[in-house]
Amino acid sequence: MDEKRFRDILDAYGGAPRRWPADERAAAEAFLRDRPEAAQWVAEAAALDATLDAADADAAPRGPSDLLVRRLLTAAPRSAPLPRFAGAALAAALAMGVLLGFGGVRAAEAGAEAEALMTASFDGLAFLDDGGLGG
Amino acid sequence: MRDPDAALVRAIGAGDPRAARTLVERRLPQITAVARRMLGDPHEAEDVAQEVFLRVWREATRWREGDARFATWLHRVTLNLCFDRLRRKRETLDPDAGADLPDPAPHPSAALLARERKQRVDAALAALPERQRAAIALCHYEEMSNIEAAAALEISVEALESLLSRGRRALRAALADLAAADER
Repeated sequence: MDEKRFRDILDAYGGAPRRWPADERAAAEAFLRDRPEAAQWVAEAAALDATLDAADADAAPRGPSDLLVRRLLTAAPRSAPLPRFAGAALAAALAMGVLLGFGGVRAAEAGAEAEALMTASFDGLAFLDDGGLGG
Repeated sequence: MRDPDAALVRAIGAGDPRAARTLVERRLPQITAVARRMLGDPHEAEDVAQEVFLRVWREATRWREGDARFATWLHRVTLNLCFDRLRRKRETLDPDAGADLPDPAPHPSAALLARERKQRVDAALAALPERQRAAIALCHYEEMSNIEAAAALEISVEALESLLSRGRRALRAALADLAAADER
């Protein structure tokens, strides 16, 4: 750590060691201990930090609104596990449909119910569309 | 080092609503804060944050742990959405709009002084070039590491330091009177 690099770090990251690059922090702190004049440079950088922090000295809440949180959680993917009887109900409905040649009203109703159940079960996966995540 | 969000994202992809809630609690405040810093408007910032998380919900099953941490990807998407909005605004608005500062009150109270001070800092930040503002939002306000911030901005650490130095220099010049008042 030489004087130029130390001052470059202050210029870029300010006067708080917690914001300095992790891999240079120890060396920069050692430099600060060893060079009495470095304290003045740090104080100058810290003064700008303090001025910038005035932007956060506001009574307005900083966090996201409850409405946004609720909206996001409502939209979050949700896999409703398929009830154990659903598979059997679907198979039974199909079998009945085959037996009655899809003509029976009751079979049609049972089939519709089973289909509705399946749709509800996999609704949570409907959000999966195009686009790539990562990279 | 393992990505602290990777397991959560996998669970979200599997449809676990508790994982979605945990990710929202862990990351939404920071994403909203960065967007607010970039756009200067809390409503627009929430729109961006919503867009970011809806994209996560849509694409969680495709997430693969790679070079960039998930949080870095989140910030990258956030910044790109902010840059898009700022570009659209530039194309439709008067470039000088919003540059005016409110008149100071004749006998300002401490609260008014604090508010005026905040407005000065906000205006100085808003006047920075977008990428300098983004670098300062990530490194100063969100205290991200230089490596993560550089990855979020898709630039080298050296380029990040250049943005930070130029940004801070411009802010120091714009806010010199505030700093001088502090010293008195």
